[in-house]
Amino acid sequence: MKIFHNIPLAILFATVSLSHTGFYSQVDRSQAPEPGPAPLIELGESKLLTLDNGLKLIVVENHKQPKISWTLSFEYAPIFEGNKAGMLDLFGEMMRSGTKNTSKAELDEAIDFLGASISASPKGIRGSGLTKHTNEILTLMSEILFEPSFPENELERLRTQALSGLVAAESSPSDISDVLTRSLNYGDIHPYGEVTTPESINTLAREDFVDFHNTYFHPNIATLVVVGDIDANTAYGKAKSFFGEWKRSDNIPYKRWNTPSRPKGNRVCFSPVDGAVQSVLKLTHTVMIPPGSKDAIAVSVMNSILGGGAFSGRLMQNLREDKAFTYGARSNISTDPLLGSFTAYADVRNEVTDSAVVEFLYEIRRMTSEPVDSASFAVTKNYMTGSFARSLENPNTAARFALNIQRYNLPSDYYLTYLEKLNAVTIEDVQRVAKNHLHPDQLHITCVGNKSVAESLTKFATSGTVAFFDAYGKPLIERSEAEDGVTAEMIIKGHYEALGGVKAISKLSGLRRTGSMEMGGGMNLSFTHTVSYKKNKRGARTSFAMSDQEVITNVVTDNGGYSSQMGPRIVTTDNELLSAQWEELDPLFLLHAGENGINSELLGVEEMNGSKYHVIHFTCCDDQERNDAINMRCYFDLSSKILSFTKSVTEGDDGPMSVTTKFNKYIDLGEGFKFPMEIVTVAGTQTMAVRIGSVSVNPEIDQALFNLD
Amino acid sequence: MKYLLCSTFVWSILLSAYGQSTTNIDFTEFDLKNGLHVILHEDHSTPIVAVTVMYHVGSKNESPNRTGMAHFFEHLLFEGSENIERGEFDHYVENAGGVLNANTSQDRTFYYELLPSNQLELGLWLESERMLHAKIQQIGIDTQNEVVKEEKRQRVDNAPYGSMIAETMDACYDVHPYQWTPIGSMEHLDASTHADFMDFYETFYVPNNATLSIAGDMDLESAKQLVKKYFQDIPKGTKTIPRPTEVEPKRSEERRSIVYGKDRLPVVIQAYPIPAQGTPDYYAVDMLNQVLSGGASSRLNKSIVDEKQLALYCGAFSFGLEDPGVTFAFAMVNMGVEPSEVENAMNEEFEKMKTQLITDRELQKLKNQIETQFVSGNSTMAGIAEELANYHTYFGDANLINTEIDRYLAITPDDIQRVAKKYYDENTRATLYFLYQEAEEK
Repeated sequence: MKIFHNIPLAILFATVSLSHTGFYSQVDRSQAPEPGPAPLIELGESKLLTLDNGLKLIVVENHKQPKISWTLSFEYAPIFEGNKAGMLDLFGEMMRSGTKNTSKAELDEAIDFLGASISASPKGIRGSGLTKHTNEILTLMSEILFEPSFPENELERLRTQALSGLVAAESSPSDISDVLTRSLNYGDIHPYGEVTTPESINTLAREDFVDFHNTYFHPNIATLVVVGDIDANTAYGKAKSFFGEWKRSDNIPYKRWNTPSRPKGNRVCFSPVDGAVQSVLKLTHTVMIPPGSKDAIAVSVMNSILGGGAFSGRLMQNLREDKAFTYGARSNISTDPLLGSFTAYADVRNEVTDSAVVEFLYEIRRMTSEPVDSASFAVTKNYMTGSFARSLENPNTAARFALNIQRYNLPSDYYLTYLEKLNAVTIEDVQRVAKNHLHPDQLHITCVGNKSVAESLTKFATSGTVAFFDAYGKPLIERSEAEDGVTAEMIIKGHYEALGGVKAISKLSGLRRTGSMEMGGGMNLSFTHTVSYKKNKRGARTSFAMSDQEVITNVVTDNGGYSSQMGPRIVTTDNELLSAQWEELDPLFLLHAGENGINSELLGVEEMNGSKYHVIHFTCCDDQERNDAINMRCYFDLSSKILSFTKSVTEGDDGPMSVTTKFNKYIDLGEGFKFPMEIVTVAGTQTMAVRIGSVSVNPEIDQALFNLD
Repeated sequence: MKYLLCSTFVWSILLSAYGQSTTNIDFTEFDLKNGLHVILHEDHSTPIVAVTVMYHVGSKNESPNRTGMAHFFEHLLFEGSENIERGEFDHYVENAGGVLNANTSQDRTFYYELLPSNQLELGLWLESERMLHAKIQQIGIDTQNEVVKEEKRQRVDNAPYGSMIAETMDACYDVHPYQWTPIGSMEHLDASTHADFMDFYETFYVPNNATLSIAGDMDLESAKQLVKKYFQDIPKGTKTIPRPTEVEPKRSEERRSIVYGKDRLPVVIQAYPIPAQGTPDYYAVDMLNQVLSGGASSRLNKSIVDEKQLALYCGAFSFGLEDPGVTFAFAMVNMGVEPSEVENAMNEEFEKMKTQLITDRELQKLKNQIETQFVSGNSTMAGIAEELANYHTYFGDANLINTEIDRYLAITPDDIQRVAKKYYDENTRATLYFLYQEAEEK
């Protein structure tokens, strides 16, 4: 057994004044009494140990009550579930729904019989109960941990419940607001932003749970936190006998994620709820403040002054005590190693919704534009000192501190010196971090409420329009049915006819297009796209060059493809190839989707910025290997019939990415075919615009361009 | 591997009797001459102290045309006093590193400050100011009137199933003031005059209607002196404190109603009248409800949620009140399931409770659950102060914090069957369906 740290901790519980007056003087009611001498705060002792298989153990001994809690938690990168969104929500209950030898009913009975509780989640498993039941509780916990059977019938039960739960959430303003703010801040292609839907619940299969358990439930990414009526030696012995044989894994996936950007300007986003008598308001944007980072404590002081827990917070004083708009107005700011968020929120009556937004914006801006007054500053520090001390009443706090220290790589005295660090924060620090981390002009101003109040919020939107969303955070698109008799094929044909005719296009043997892409700062990359449509010689090469030096190259042929960025070639994956070969090597690819096994569905007519579009959704495929290789919506202008833009979801280096490609300025350069002269691609936070200078039809093509060797 | 060998359930081991775990809460108590009851619990483990006052006034003490008063006072009594400027009450506490709040039930109102232990005197000063001469001013009344309306919109009107408790209580009581809930009527609050508020304050917020309960890091002798310093000169109330005398007549026919709202999933509620908390039958009903819904293996959950899959949640819980209360059986119905099907399934479980005794193993499970609850409760100073005050206010016996468990453990399977027959009586119950609005138009 190795003890890494073992710190007895005590600090002075000092707030403002330390002067001390005697108890027994005459009652002077006109003044608040002076406090006594500041007492000592004991941080509570924790011990950190490690088992041979990598399982870490944190023990906080506390014999006040004859009970112990055992919390095993895993540390892994956030997981994007995609079309399986909701699996993680159900995972814990599935774990608790039976083991190899024991049914759910038997497990429930055994746990209840002990008066104990055992719960599981995708992040681990927790058991607690009286000291005298320790062995029985650990036996049950380890059985659930090591031998869950994930029964099919229990999945069906949970599926029914989850679907019912989603129906209930559809009419709950606070649930809708949570979903809306998450999906706006992070986007639906980020682990923090994706939303569980009835469709995703319906795709869940038993194997999803089995795979997840096999992949992540290993000791080398786990910490067992033991709190209560037990000493470290005994806890270590128990951990060893119940979890000592557990096998580690060196194949635990790690994935990075794109950092979604804040909106350009303030967006007003509205989700209507029939008959709502209040507006659930949340003003929110993302923030990057990792736990323990330089600004973290000053940021929490700043947020506390604005609208943290204290009643004296500015939002509470302004919106409740002064204006009586609400029962409570607060704000929070989350530190997160990946990406946190700032949110100011209140439920206000319908009539004052826009007035409340004015006050929110005023208070948020005021944090950034002027130093806070010394009185609010002092109250806040004292309040935070008190909160810290009060949190120590709960023995789990000492365990949480120890867990955070190792989870976020904090210095071992981080919490011991927390009050010192808090005390060192200055009024200047508060304004500095407010300026750095609050963005009153890049907010999602969200409102879940009665549709009648939406218009009053228009004035806060930089774009001048309010965007509407459904209960799942999806944009409410005013989509109408396509006209009777119109099919996807007719629309696609119409597009090709408008470009030069299906027949003429089918006879093309190849194309070469050149142009340029602006890089900003006056720099340009030259662009060349060469494609051969000849049978058995099909190939496409796209390259960007700077002073004749190719910096980005992308090649697709029937036999494979690669890409390179001034470095070694990266072989195109099967999934990427599926869409690249379809889109690049056939001038009539939209028309030939079906022959390539790609589904096309005419969704209807959408109206955007004054234009109407036929929308066709191309998807492929729903098998295990090529899952979601193609997911693209094509928007065909109703008047010109031509493809105007596409929206697709593709797999980027850091996870899925949504990509919009606009085809502008279709012009016939004299060859009898119209080509877009400007192609603008918006991928995540980046925009790339390619301007075409020349197009040659049926050119001589050097097949060596497509060489894969 | 060891863990693979541990998976069999050896009932006999689990069934063996265990000694009872206990955590005794020590306290001292005394009365001041003005009738204020004081309870002190000393605990030095964290340098904090909970200063609390429980006033024996709740919504049941309101007159039928002035409902919502007790809860309104919960807001009003933060507005300040003769020596505390408006808005400064919370400022004092937060500046001292403390927190404060209050809550109101049908039977009592509870105010508390949780402070660093060197600020005990501040807490006593604040609470004594509130009791002696709180400021009842029009500006505070007007502001809190709006805030309370927002509270009602947030918690009742705009919250999923927010009207459920109010609708159910209204269906259960015709004469007793439990027919309204603490949030009360906004029209009554609008109609209340300054004189109404002063009268309510002078009647109920007096030392002889209050319990001062303090728990935490303090020296008992100094604390007693400080309590006397701030509270002994507060005059005793001079008005008679009204307590409701209405007795809800026993019903002989079930009452059924349907409430339409905007929540999509149907909810079924059955409410059965039960005796007041603290009576022997109340404990038996509580144990009965524990059989029905204590834990995942409980009968309602196992049968209706897990096996028949009719509901998202199904449970029964006693709403213990000072006067005879109710027990709620509650189900949130799964999508596509008829509420009546769930109701029938619930009734089947109640019938079983009436016709069959619970097994020895179920009885032992109940006792183990109760024991864990008692041992695990009382883990915070605020919680201990509140429990001590509750037990004193309702039963005049603060020591029930240590001994109430015996009343539960004394309940036998026969008691449980007897109270199932006596109180789970379909003729006395109110049954409510909460259905989605559109259903009404069909």
